[in-house]
Amino acid sequence: MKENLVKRTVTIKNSSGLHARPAMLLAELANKFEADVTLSLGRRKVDAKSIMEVLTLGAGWGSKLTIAAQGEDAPQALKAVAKLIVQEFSEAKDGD
Amino acid sequence: MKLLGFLAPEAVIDNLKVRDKSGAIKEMVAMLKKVGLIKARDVPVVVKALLARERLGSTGIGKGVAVPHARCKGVKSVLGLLARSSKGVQFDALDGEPVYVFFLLISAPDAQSPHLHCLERVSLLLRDSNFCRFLKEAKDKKEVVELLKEAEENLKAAKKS
Repeated sequence: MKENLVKRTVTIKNSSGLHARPAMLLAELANKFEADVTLSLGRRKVDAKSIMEVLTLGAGWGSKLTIAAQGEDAPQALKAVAKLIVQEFSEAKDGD
Repeated sequence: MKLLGFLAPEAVIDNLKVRDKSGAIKEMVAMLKKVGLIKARDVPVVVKALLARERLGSTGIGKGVAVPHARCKGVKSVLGLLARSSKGVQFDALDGEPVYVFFLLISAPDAQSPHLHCLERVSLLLRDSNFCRFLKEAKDKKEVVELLKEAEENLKAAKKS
């Protein structure tokens, strides 16, 4: 069933990129939704609900990530995940 | 960057002696010191930094794997160590399971991009369930190092295709 597929591309702006903690926060957030959530970087596409998968992207500062969500609460999932990335995972500027 | 370039083969820990979080971290850092990768005077600082990072949220990312990491002045880029535990370490992992495989990473304060790249390499390996099984089943340190070399070749081949 192809319902509610929504997509948005965002740029990674925190200087340390999508390292362990942001990946964890992202997967944790994505898991709160019913929708399937994926992240794409270039030709690679991974399940946003798996920390390990997210880490395999090695998405550094300036990477353009496409978030796609599909399912009943897809719009909410997309909005939440995009917000987390855009707000730089609420990281201190120094990262960790 | 080569996998074995940052995972020192001589520092592989075949089987951790301790089974608690801070003990496991101390044992791994002691090994880094033993093989000369970090200086004796940096040991307390590195242990403290690793434990502080764990307090932000466990680096036990699930499926029996953890990637403890910290920054340390004086190291060149990123260095790392692979450790196994046959009985498992209680590491407050996200899935609540014990941790059997550790990839510990110590990065220079300004090595954000190499650190990220190392995480990428390590997670690409760990995503492969065959690699994880072979890593668990490897008989000794030598077999672990061989396995890492093979994995390195496979990653290279996968990138080309």
